[in-house]
Amino acid sequence: METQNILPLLQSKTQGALELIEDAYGATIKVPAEALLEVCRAAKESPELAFDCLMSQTGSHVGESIQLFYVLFSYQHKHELILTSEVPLGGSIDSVAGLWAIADWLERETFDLLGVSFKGHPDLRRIMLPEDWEGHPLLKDYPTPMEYNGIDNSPSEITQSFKVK
Amino acid sequence: MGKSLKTEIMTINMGPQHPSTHGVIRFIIKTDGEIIHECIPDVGYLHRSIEKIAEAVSWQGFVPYTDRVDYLAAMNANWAYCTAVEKMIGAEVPRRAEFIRVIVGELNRISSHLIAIGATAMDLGAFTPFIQLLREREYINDLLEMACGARLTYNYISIGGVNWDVPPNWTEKIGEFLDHFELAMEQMNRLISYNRIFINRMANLATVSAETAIDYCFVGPNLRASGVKYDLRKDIPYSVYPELDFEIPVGEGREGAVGDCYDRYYVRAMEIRESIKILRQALKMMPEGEFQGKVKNNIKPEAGVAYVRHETPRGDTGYLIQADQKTSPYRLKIRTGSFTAMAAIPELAQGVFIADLVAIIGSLDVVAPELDR
Repeated sequence: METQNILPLLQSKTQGALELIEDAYGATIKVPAEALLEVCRAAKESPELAFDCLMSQTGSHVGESIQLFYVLFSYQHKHELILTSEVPLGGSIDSVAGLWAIADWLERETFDLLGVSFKGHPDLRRIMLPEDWEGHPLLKDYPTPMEYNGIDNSPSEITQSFKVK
Repeated sequence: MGKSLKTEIMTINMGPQHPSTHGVIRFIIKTDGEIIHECIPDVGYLHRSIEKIAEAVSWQGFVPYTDRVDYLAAMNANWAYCTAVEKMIGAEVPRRAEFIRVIVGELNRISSHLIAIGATAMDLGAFTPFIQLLREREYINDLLEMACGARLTYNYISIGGVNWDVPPNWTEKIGEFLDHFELAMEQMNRLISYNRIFINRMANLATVSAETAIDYCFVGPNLRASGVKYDLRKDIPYSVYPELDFEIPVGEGREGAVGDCYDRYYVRAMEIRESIKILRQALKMMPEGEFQGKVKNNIKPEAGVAYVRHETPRGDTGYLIQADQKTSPYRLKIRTGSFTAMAAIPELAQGVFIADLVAIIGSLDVVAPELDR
Protein backbone atom coordinates (compact mmCIF):
# COMPACT_ATOMS: atom_id res chain seq x y z
CA MET A 1 0.00 0.00 0.00
CA GLU A 2 1.29 3.46 -0.86
CA THR A 3 1.95 6.03 1.85
CA GLN A 4 -0.75 8.28 0.34
CA ASN A 5 -3.37 5.55 0.94
CA ILE A 6 -2.03 4.70 4.41
CA LEU A 7 -2.49 8.27 5.67
CA PRO A 8 -6.33 8.30 5.88
CA LEU A 9 -6.30 4.91 7.61
CA LEU A 10 -3.92 6.17 10.29
CA GLN A 11 -5.70 9.54 10.59
CA SER A 12 -8.96 7.79 11.48
CA LYS A 13 -7.23 6.22 14.51
CA THR A 14 -5.81 9.37 16.09
CA GLN A 15 -6.79 12.91 17.15
CA GLY A 16 -3.39 14.37 16.23
CA ALA A 17 -3.08 16.02 12.82
CA LEU A 18 -0.97 13.85 10.48
CA GLU A 19 0.78 15.47 7.58
CA LEU A 20 1.94 13.98 4.30
CA ILE A 21 5.38 15.20 3.31
CA GLU A 22 6.57 14.46 -0.21
CA ASP A 23 10.13 14.84 -1.39
CA ALA A 24 12.23 13.66 -4.30
CA TYR A 25 12.46 10.13 -2.89
CA GLY A 26 8.88 9.42 -1.87
CA ALA A 27 6.44 10.29 0.84
CA THR A 28 6.71 10.26 4.63
CA ILE A 29 4.05 10.91 7.27
CA LYS A 30 4.75 13.53 9.92
CA VAL A 31 3.25 12.64 13.29
CA PRO A 32 2.95 15.01 16.28
CA ALA A 33 5.24 13.73 19.07
CA GLU A 34 2.37 13.15 21.52
CA ALA A 35 0.45 10.99 19.00
CA LEU A 36 3.40 8.81 17.93
CA LEU A 37 2.77 5.81 20.17
CA GLU A 38 -0.91 5.80 19.24
CA VAL A 39 -0.14 5.97 15.52
CA CYS A 40 2.52 3.26 15.76
CA ARG A 41 0.11 0.99 17.63
CA ALA A 42 -2.54 1.55 14.95
CA ALA A 43 0.03 0.87 12.22
CA LYS A 44 1.02 -2.39 13.86
CA GLU A 45 -2.37 -3.66 14.95
CA SER A 46 -4.82 -2.76 12.19
CA PRO A 47 -5.02 -5.81 9.89
CA GLU A 48 -4.93 -3.87 6.61
CA LEU A 49 -1.59 -2.25 7.58
CA ALA A 50 0.01 -4.92 9.84
CA PHE A 51 3.43 -3.29 10.19
CA ASP A 52 5.03 -6.16 12.09
CA CYS A 53 8.63 -4.98 11.79
CA LEU A 54 10.45 -1.82 12.83
CA MET A 55 13.18 -1.71 10.21
CA SER A 56 15.10 1.29 11.42
CA GLN A 57 14.80 4.11 13.90
CA THR A 58 16.99 7.15 14.11
CA GLY A 59 17.01 10.92 14.20
CA SER A 60 18.82 13.93 12.87
CA HIS A 61 19.61 17.35 14.30
CA VAL A 62 17.76 19.99 12.27
CA GLY A 63 17.86 23.56 13.56
CA GLU A 64 16.69 23.66 17.15
CA SER A 65 15.03 20.26 17.14
CA ILE A 66 15.61 16.57 16.54
CA GLN A 67 13.77 15.03 13.63
CA LEU A 68 13.01 11.38 14.35
CA PHE A 69 12.53 8.67 11.72
CA TYR A 70 10.69 5.37 12.12
CA VAL A 71 10.93 2.99 9.17
CA LEU A 72 8.17 0.38 9.36
CA PHE A 73 7.80 -2.69 7.19
CA SER A 74 5.09 -5.31 6.87
CA TYR A 75 6.16 -8.83 5.94
CA GLN A 76 2.51 -9.69 5.47
CA HIS A 77 1.63 -6.97 2.95
CA LYS A 78 5.20 -6.21 1.82
CA HIS A 79 4.80 -2.47 2.19
CA GLU A 80 6.98 0.13 3.82
CA LEU A 81 6.24 3.36 5.67
CA ILE A 82 8.44 6.12 7.05
CA LEU A 83 7.03 8.07 9.99
CA THR A 84 8.74 11.25 11.12
CA SER A 85 8.28 13.23 14.28
CA GLU A 86 9.92 16.21 15.89
CA VAL A 87 11.08 16.82 19.44
CA PRO A 88 13.07 19.78 20.84
CA LEU A 89 16.80 19.27 21.57
CA GLY A 90 17.13 16.97 24.58
CA GLY A 91 13.37 16.43 24.50
CA SER A 92 11.47 13.23 24.99
CA ILE A 93 8.97 11.05 23.15
CA ASP A 94 7.05 7.87 23.95
CA SER A 95 9.02 4.69 23.50
CA VAL A 96 7.73 2.09 21.04
CA ALA A 97 9.73 -0.71 22.69
CA GLY A 98 6.45 -2.25 23.84
CA LEU A 99 5.39 -2.73 20.21
CA TRP A 100 8.57 -3.99 18.57
CA ALA A 101 11.35 -5.73 20.51
CA ILE A 102 14.10 -4.23 18.36
CA ALA A 103 13.01 -0.70 19.33
CA ASP A 104 14.77 -1.29 22.66
CA TRP A 105 18.24 -1.16 21.10
CA LEU A 106 17.43 1.26 18.28
CA GLU A 107 16.06 3.81 20.75
CA ARG A 108 19.06 3.34 23.02
CA GLU A 109 21.28 4.26 20.07
CA THR A 110 19.21 7.36 19.31
CA PHE A 111 19.37 8.31 23.01
CA ASP A 112 23.12 7.77 23.08
CA LEU A 113 24.06 9.62 19.92
CA LEU A 114 21.36 12.32 19.77
CA GLY A 115 20.21 12.77 23.36
CA VAL A 116 16.50 12.05 22.86
CA SER A 117 14.80 10.50 25.90
CA PHE A 118 12.23 7.76 25.39
CA LYS A 119 9.42 7.68 27.94
CA GLY A 120 8.59 4.17 29.11
CA HIS A 121 11.75 2.59 27.70
CA PRO A 122 12.72 -0.49 29.78
CA ASP A 123 16.46 0.16 29.94
CA LEU A 124 17.47 3.57 28.63
CA ARG A 125 21.25 3.91 28.86
CA ARG A 126 24.12 4.52 26.47
CA ILE A 127 24.86 1.70 24.04
CA MET A 128 27.76 2.72 21.79
CA LEU A 129 29.63 5.12 24.10
CA PRO A 130 30.86 4.58 27.66
CA GLU A 131 28.54 5.53 30.55
CA ASP A 132 30.69 8.52 31.54
CA TRP A 133 30.81 10.06 28.09
CA GLU A 134 29.69 13.67 27.83
CA GLY A 135 27.53 14.98 25.02
CA HIS A 136 25.80 13.39 22.06
CA PRO A 137 28.12 13.11 19.04
CA LEU A 138 25.58 13.19 16.21
CA LEU A 139 24.39 16.67 17.17
CA LYS A 140 25.62 19.17 14.60
CA ASP A 141 27.17 21.45 17.23
CA TYR A 142 29.07 18.68 19.03
CA PRO A 143 32.66 19.75 19.74
CA THR A 144 35.33 17.06 19.29
CA PRO A 145 36.57 16.29 22.82
CA MET A 146 40.27 17.00 23.31
CA GLU A 147 40.64 14.51 26.17
CA TYR A 148 38.85 11.49 27.61
CA ASN A 149 39.88 9.94 30.94
CA GLY A 150 43.48 10.98 30.44
CA ILE A 151 43.61 9.91 26.78
CA ASP A 152 44.85 12.84 24.74
CA ASN A 153 42.92 13.62 21.57
CA SER A 154 44.36 16.99 20.63
CA PRO A 155 45.66 17.21 17.06
CA SER A 156 49.34 16.25 16.88
CA GLU A 157 52.02 18.51 15.42
CA ILE A 158 52.24 16.31 12.34
CA THR A 159 48.52 16.63 11.53
CA GLN A 160 48.76 20.37 12.15
CA SER A 161 51.65 20.71 9.71
CA PHE A 162 49.63 19.00 6.96
CA LYS A 163 46.66 21.29 7.43
CA VAL A 164 45.93 23.53 4.45
CA LYS A 165 46.28 27.09 5.63
CA MET B 1 19.85 -33.74 48.52
CA GLY B 2 19.16 -32.01 45.21
CA LYS B 3 16.66 -29.52 46.60
CA SER B 4 18.59 -28.61 49.73
CA LEU B 5 21.75 -27.82 47.77
CA LYS B 6 22.32 -24.08 47.95
CA THR B 7 23.43 -22.42 44.78
CA GLU B 8 24.61 -18.91 44.24
CA ILE B 9 24.20 -16.62 41.27
CA MET B 10 27.59 -15.55 40.04
CA THR B 11 28.38 -12.70 37.68
CA ILE B 12 31.12 -13.44 35.21
CA ASN B 13 32.60 -11.44 32.42
CA MET B 14 33.12 -12.71 28.86
CA GLY B 15 35.14 -10.52 26.56
CA PRO B 16 35.87 -7.94 25.24
CA GLN B 17 39.02 -9.89 24.34
CA HIS B 18 37.66 -13.38 23.95
CA PRO B 19 38.40 -15.77 21.08
CA SER B 20 34.79 -16.82 20.52
CA THR B 21 32.94 -13.51 20.67
CA HIS B 22 33.80 -12.78 17.00
CA GLY B 23 35.38 -9.43 17.62
CA VAL B 24 35.49 -7.03 20.49
CA ILE B 25 32.19 -7.62 22.29
CA ARG B 26 31.67 -8.04 26.01
CA PHE B 27 29.00 -10.10 27.76
CA ILE B 28 28.10 -9.72 31.40
CA ILE B 29 26.70 -13.11 32.34
CA LYS B 30 24.84 -13.98 35.52
CA THR B 31 25.15 -17.71 35.94
CA ASP B 32 24.14 -20.44 38.28
CA GLY B 33 26.86 -22.96 37.68
CA GLU B 34 26.91 -23.47 33.91
CA ILE B 35 23.37 -22.18 33.30
CA ILE B 36 22.96 -18.58 32.15
CA HIS B 37 20.30 -16.65 34.04
CA GLU B 38 20.90 -13.34 32.39
CA CYS B 39 23.19 -12.22 29.62
CA ILE B 40 23.76 -8.53 28.99
CA PRO B 41 25.74 -7.70 25.86
CA ASP B 42 27.95 -4.67 26.23
CA VAL B 43 28.68 -3.39 22.74
CA GLY B 44 30.33 -0.30 21.34
CA TYR B 45 34.00 -1.23 21.67
CA LEU B 46 34.41 -0.80 17.91
CA HIS B 47 32.31 2.32 17.57
CA ARG B 48 34.21 4.54 15.14
CA SER B 49 31.40 7.03 14.53
CA ILE B 50 31.23 6.13 10.85
CA GLU B 51 27.85 7.87 10.60
CA LYS B 52 29.38 11.11 11.87
CA ILE B 53 32.29 10.78 9.42
CA ALA B 54 29.74 10.47 6.59
CA GLU B 55 28.55 13.98 7.36
CA ALA B 56 32.07 15.33 6.77
CA VAL B 57 33.21 13.50 3.62
CA SER B 58 31.93 13.68 0.05
CA TRP B 59 29.38 11.20 -1.32
CA GLN B 60 32.10 9.26 -3.20
CA GLY B 61 34.53 9.69 -0.32
CA PHE B 62 32.33 7.62 1.95
CA VAL B 63 32.70 4.43 -0.11
CA PRO B 64 36.00 3.33 1.56
CA TYR B 65 34.37 3.80 4.97
CA THR B 66 31.64 1.33 4.07
CA ASP B 67 34.43 -1.27 3.72
CA ARG B 68 35.07 -0.79 7.41
CA VAL B 69 31.41 -1.19 8.30
CA ASP B 70 31.53 -4.87 7.40
CA TYR B 71 35.03 -5.99 6.57
CA LEU B 72 34.03 -9.62 6.00
CA ALA B 73 31.79 -8.61 3.12
CA ALA B 74 33.20 -5.28 2.06
CA MET B 75 32.08 -5.66 -1.58
CA ASN B 76 28.47 -5.97 -0.49
CA ALA B 77 28.86 -3.06 1.90
CA ASN B 78 30.22 -0.90 -0.94
CA TRP B 79 27.43 -2.06 -3.17
CA ALA B 80 24.70 -1.33 -0.60
CA TYR B 81 25.86 2.26 -0.17
CA CYS B 82 26.42 2.84 -3.89
CA THR B 83 22.94 1.57 -4.85
CA ALA B 84 21.48 3.91 -2.24
CA VAL B 85 23.24 6.93 -3.73
CA GLU B 86 22.52 5.80 -7.30
CA LYS B 87 18.82 5.62 -6.46
CA MET B 88 18.99 9.12 -5.03
CA ILE B 89 20.71 10.73 -8.00
CA GLY B 90 19.12 8.46 -10.62
CA ALA B 91 22.44 7.25 -12.03
CA GLU B 92 22.51 4.58 -14.72
CA VAL B 93 24.84 1.64 -14.19
CA PRO B 94 26.24 -0.05 -17.33
CA ARG B 95 25.22 -3.66 -17.82
CA ARG B 96 28.77 -4.98 -17.63
CA ALA B 97 29.26 -3.20 -14.30
CA GLU B 98 26.08 -4.79 -12.94
CA PHE B 99 27.41 -8.24 -13.79
CA ILE B 100 30.82 -7.48 -12.30
CA ARG B 101 29.01 -6.35 -9.15
CA VAL B 102 26.95 -9.52 -8.98
CA ILE B 103 30.08 -11.65 -9.43
CA VAL B 104 32.21 -9.89 -6.82
CA GLY B 105 29.21 -9.60 -4.51
CA GLU B 106 28.42 -13.30 -4.65
CA LEU B 107 32.10 -14.26 -4.31
CA ASN B 108 32.22 -12.10 -1.22
CA ARG B 109 28.97 -13.62 0.06
CA ILE B 110 30.56 -17.05 -0.20
CA SER B 111 33.71 -15.95 1.61
CA SER B 112 31.67 -14.28 4.35
CA HIS B 113 29.55 -17.39 4.87
CA LEU B 114 32.71 -19.54 4.93
CA ILE B 115 33.97 -17.48 7.86
CA ALA B 116 30.57 -17.69 9.57
CA ILE B 117 30.42 -21.47 9.23
CA GLY B 118 34.10 -22.08 9.98
CA ALA B 119 34.11 -19.84 13.04
CA THR B 120 30.94 -21.47 14.41
CA ALA B 121 32.53 -24.90 14.04
CA MET B 122 35.72 -23.68 15.65
CA ASP B 123 33.83 -22.20 18.61
CA LEU B 124 32.32 -25.62 19.16
CA GLY B 125 35.75 -27.17 19.24
CA ALA B 126 36.17 -28.35 15.65
CA PHE B 127 39.33 -26.72 14.41
CA THR B 128 39.82 -28.52 11.08
CA PRO B 129 36.79 -27.08 9.22
CA PHE B 130 37.90 -23.54 10.04
CA ILE B 131 41.33 -24.09 8.54
CA GLN B 132 39.87 -25.81 5.47
CA LEU B 133 37.27 -23.11 4.85
CA LEU B 134 39.79 -20.35 5.40
CA ARG B 135 41.94 -21.99 2.70
CA GLU B 136 39.01 -21.75 0.26
CA ARG B 137 38.47 -18.15 1.30
CA GLU B 138 42.07 -17.39 0.38
CA TYR B 139 41.32 -18.42 -3.22
CA ILE B 140 38.36 -16.02 -3.26
CA ASN B 141 40.55 -13.27 -1.83
CA ASP B 142 43.02 -13.96 -4.68
CA LEU B 143 40.23 -13.54 -7.23
CA LEU B 144 39.02 -10.31 -5.67
CA GLU B 145 42.59 -9.07 -5.43
CA MET B 146 42.95 -9.65 -9.18
CA ALA B 147 39.96 -7.41 -9.76
CA CYS B 148 40.75 -4.58 -7.37
CA GLY B 149 44.15 -5.03 -5.75
CA ALA B 150 42.94 -5.46 -2.18
CA ARG B 151 42.17 -8.56 -0.15
CA LEU B 152 39.93 -7.28 2.59
CA THR B 153 38.80 -3.67 2.19
CA TYR B 154 38.20 -3.35 -1.51
CA ASN B 155 36.79 0.10 -2.33
CA TYR B 156 35.96 -1.46 -5.71
CA ILE B 157 32.33 -0.66 -6.36
CA SER B 158 31.83 3.01 -7.08
CA ILE B 159 28.80 5.20 -7.56
CA GLY B 160 27.68 4.44 -11.12
CA GLY B 161 29.71 1.29 -11.73
CA VAL B 162 32.99 -0.21 -10.60
CA ASN B 163 36.36 1.52 -10.26
CA TRP B 164 38.34 -0.65 -12.69
CA ASP B 165 37.57 -3.22 -15.33
CA VAL B 166 38.40 -6.82 -14.48
CA PRO B 167 41.62 -8.33 -15.83
CA PRO B 168 41.62 -10.69 -18.84
CA ASN B 169 41.14 -14.42 -18.01
CA TRP B 170 39.45 -13.42 -14.73
CA THR B 171 36.19 -15.16 -15.60
CA GLU B 172 38.05 -18.38 -16.57
CA LYS B 173 39.93 -18.26 -13.26
CA ILE B 174 36.62 -18.00 -11.38
CA GLY B 175 35.25 -20.93 -13.38
CA GLU B 176 38.28 -23.02 -12.41
CA PHE B 177 37.86 -22.00 -8.78
CA LEU B 178 34.18 -22.98 -8.78
CA ASP B 179 34.96 -26.45 -10.16
CA HIS B 180 37.40 -26.98 -7.34
CA PHE B 181 35.19 -25.29 -4.74
CA GLU B 182 32.18 -27.50 -5.39
CA LEU B 183 34.25 -30.52 -4.35
CA ALA B 184 35.49 -28.64 -1.30
CA MET B 185 31.88 -27.95 -0.32
CA GLU B 186 31.15 -31.69 -0.48
CA GLN B 187 34.07 -32.19 1.84
CA MET B 188 32.72 -29.51 4.17
CA ASN B 189 29.30 -31.17 4.24
CA ARG B 190 30.87 -34.49 5.15
CA LEU B 191 32.97 -32.80 7.80
CA ILE B 192 30.33 -30.69 9.55
CA SER B 193 26.86 -30.66 8.00
CA TYR B 194 26.23 -34.36 8.63
CA ASN B 195 28.51 -34.60 11.66
CA ARG B 196 26.53 -36.07 14.56
CA ILE B 197 28.46 -34.16 17.24
CA PHE B 198 27.97 -30.86 15.43
CA ILE B 199 24.27 -31.57 14.86
CA ASN B 200 23.69 -32.46 18.49
CA ARG B 201 25.32 -29.26 19.61
CA MET B 202 23.36 -27.06 17.18
CA ALA B 203 19.92 -28.68 16.85
CA ASN B 204 17.06 -27.38 19.01
CA LEU B 205 19.29 -24.67 20.43
CA ALA B 206 18.01 -21.06 20.64
CA THR B 207 14.97 -21.67 18.48
CA VAL B 208 13.62 -18.42 17.04
CA SER B 209 10.05 -18.45 15.79
CA ALA B 210 9.10 -16.42 12.72
CA GLU B 211 7.20 -13.91 14.91
CA THR B 212 10.17 -13.37 17.23
CA ALA B 213 12.52 -13.06 14.28
CA ILE B 214 10.36 -10.32 12.75
CA ASP B 215 9.85 -8.65 16.13
CA TYR B 216 13.63 -8.38 16.55
CA CYS B 217 13.98 -7.34 12.91
CA PHE B 218 16.14 -10.35 12.05
CA VAL B 219 17.29 -10.11 8.45
CA GLY B 220 18.95 -12.26 5.83
CA PRO B 221 19.90 -15.86 6.68
CA ASN B 222 18.82 -15.47 10.33
CA LEU B 223 15.30 -14.51 9.24
CA ARG B 224 15.09 -17.17 6.54
CA ALA B 225 16.24 -19.85 9.00
CA SER B 226 13.07 -19.10 10.97
CA GLY B 227 11.03 -20.04 7.92
CA VAL B 228 10.30 -16.59 6.49
CA LYS B 229 11.01 -16.75 2.77
CA TYR B 230 12.17 -13.21 2.20
CA ASP B 231 15.21 -12.20 0.21
CA LEU B 232 15.57 -8.73 -1.30
CA ARG B 233 17.28 -10.24 -4.34
CA LYS B 234 13.93 -11.88 -5.17
CA ASP B 235 11.35 -9.75 -3.35
CA ILE B 236 12.55 -6.25 -4.25
CA PRO B 237 14.83 -7.25 -7.12
CA TYR B 238 17.74 -5.00 -7.94
CA SER B 239 20.67 -5.10 -10.35
CA VAL B 240 20.44 -8.09 -12.75
CA TYR B 241 19.11 -10.60 -10.20
CA PRO B 242 15.71 -10.95 -11.97
CA GLU B 243 17.53 -12.50 -14.96
CA LEU B 244 19.34 -15.07 -12.83
CA ASP B 245 17.88 -18.36 -11.71
CA PHE B 246 18.38 -19.25 -8.06
CA GLU B 247 16.47 -20.51 -5.05
CA ILE B 248 15.99 -18.98 -1.60
CA PRO B 249 16.88 -21.59 1.04
CA VAL B 250 14.72 -21.40 4.18
CA GLY B 251 14.90 -23.19 7.50
CA GLU B 252 12.87 -26.40 7.54
CA GLY B 253 13.86 -27.83 10.89
CA ARG B 254 16.13 -30.41 9.27
CA GLU B 255 17.54 -31.75 12.52
CA GLY B 256 15.36 -30.10 15.15
CA ALA B 257 12.89 -27.25 15.37
CA VAL B 258 12.51 -24.62 12.65
CA GLY B 259 14.74 -21.63 13.43
CA ASP B 260 17.30 -23.35 15.66
CA CYS B 261 21.04 -22.86 15.43
CA TYR B 262 21.41 -25.76 12.99
CA ASP B 263 18.87 -24.18 10.61
CA ARG B 264 20.78 -20.91 10.67
CA TYR B 265 23.94 -22.83 9.87
CA TYR B 266 22.29 -24.88 7.16
CA VAL B 267 20.67 -21.90 5.41
CA ARG B 268 24.13 -20.35 5.06
CA ALA B 269 25.58 -23.59 3.70
CA MET B 270 22.75 -23.78 1.14
CA GLU B 271 23.20 -20.13 0.20
CA ILE B 272 26.78 -20.88 -0.77
CA ARG B 273 25.41 -23.46 -3.20
CA GLU B 274 22.98 -20.91 -4.66
CA SER B 275 25.77 -18.34 -4.96
CA ILE B 276 27.77 -20.84 -7.01
CA LYS B 277 24.74 -21.21 -9.29
CA ILE B 278 24.42 -17.43 -9.65
CA LEU B 279 28.14 -17.10 -10.38
CA ARG B 280 28.09 -19.74 -13.13
CA GLN B 281 25.21 -17.96 -14.88
CA ALA B 282 26.63 -14.46 -14.42
CA LEU B 283 30.01 -15.51 -15.81
CA LYS B 284 28.33 -16.74 -19.00
CA MET B 285 26.07 -13.70 -19.34
CA MET B 286 28.58 -10.92 -18.62
CA PRO B 287 28.72 -8.67 -21.71
CA GLU B 288 31.54 -6.48 -22.98
CA GLY B 289 31.25 -2.73 -22.60
CA GLU B 290 31.62 0.14 -20.20
CA PHE B 291 32.33 -0.53 -16.54
CA GLN B 292 31.59 2.94 -15.20
CA GLY B 293 28.53 5.02 -15.97
CA LYS B 294 28.52 8.79 -16.30
CA VAL B 295 28.29 10.33 -12.84
CA LYS B 296 29.06 13.94 -12.06
CA ASN B 297 32.15 14.50 -9.95
CA ASN B 298 30.27 16.80 -7.64
CA ILE B 299 27.17 14.89 -6.55
CA LYS B 300 24.43 16.93 -4.89
CA PRO B 301 21.29 14.80 -4.43
CA GLU B 302 17.92 16.51 -4.01
CA ALA B 303 16.82 17.34 -0.47
CA GLY B 304 14.78 14.64 1.24
CA VAL B 305 14.88 11.32 3.03
CA ALA B 306 15.54 8.03 1.27
CA TYR B 307 15.55 4.53 2.74
CA VAL B 308 17.28 1.95 0.55
CA ARG B 309 17.69 -1.72 1.39
CA HIS B 310 20.24 -4.19 0.10
CA GLU B 311 20.78 -7.90 0.67
CA THR B 312 24.29 -8.37 2.09
CA PRO B 313 25.57 -11.67 3.55
CA ARG B 314 24.39 -10.56 6.97
CA GLY B 315 21.00 -9.67 5.56
CA ASP B 316 19.01 -6.63 4.65
CA THR B 317 21.19 -3.58 5.29
CA GLY B 318 19.14 -0.41 5.38
CA TYR B 319 20.63 2.96 4.51
CA LEU B 320 18.54 5.87 5.71
CA ILE B 321 20.00 8.94 4.04
CA GLN B 322 18.87 12.49 4.59
CA ALA B 323 20.21 14.88 1.97
CA ASP B 324 20.09 18.65 1.79
CA GLN B 325 21.58 19.27 -1.68
CA LYS B 326 25.09 19.49 -0.31
CA THR B 327 28.25 17.64 -1.31
CA SER B 328 28.00 15.32 1.70
CA PRO B 329 25.07 13.53 3.39
CA TYR B 330 23.20 15.53 6.03
CA ARG B 331 22.53 12.39 8.06
CA LEU B 332 23.26 8.80 7.22
CA LYS B 333 22.12 5.85 9.29
CA ILE B 334 23.12 2.25 8.62
CA ARG B 335 20.90 -0.41 10.15
CA THR B 336 22.86 -3.63 9.95
CA GLY B 337 21.98 -7.28 10.42
CA SER B 338 24.49 -7.82 13.23
CA PHE B 339 22.89 -5.07 15.32
CA THR B 340 19.42 -6.58 15.23
CA ALA B 341 20.73 -10.12 15.78
CA MET B 342 22.73 -9.02 18.81
CA ALA B 343 19.71 -7.30 20.34
CA ALA B 344 18.03 -10.70 20.64
CA ILE B 345 20.90 -12.31 22.60
CA PRO B 346 19.49 -11.47 26.10
CA GLU B 347 16.31 -13.34 25.22
CA LEU B 348 17.96 -16.25 23.38
CA ALA B 349 20.68 -16.83 25.97
CA GLN B 350 18.33 -17.32 28.88
CA GLY B 351 18.64 -20.75 30.43
CA VAL B 352 21.31 -22.13 28.09
CA PHE B 353 24.80 -23.37 28.95
CA ILE B 354 27.69 -20.92 28.67
CA ALA B 355 29.22 -23.15 25.99
CA ASP B 356 25.98 -22.90 24.01
CA LEU B 357 26.03 -19.10 24.11
CA VAL B 358 29.12 -19.34 21.94
CA ALA B 359 27.20 -21.47 19.44
CA ILE B 360 24.31 -18.98 19.42
CA ILE B 361 26.60 -16.01 18.70
CA GLY B 362 28.32 -18.00 15.96
CA SER B 363 25.06 -19.10 14.35
CA LEU B 364 23.73 -15.51 14.30
CA ASP B 365 26.90 -14.48 12.42
CA VAL B 366 27.49 -11.33 14.43
CA VAL B 367 30.39 -9.22 13.20
CA ALA B 368 31.50 -6.62 15.73
CA PRO B 369 32.50 -3.72 13.43
CA GLU B 370 29.17 -3.94 11.65
CA LEU B 371 27.37 -4.00 14.98
CA ASP B 372 29.14 -0.96 16.40
CA ARG B 373 29.90 0.99 13.23
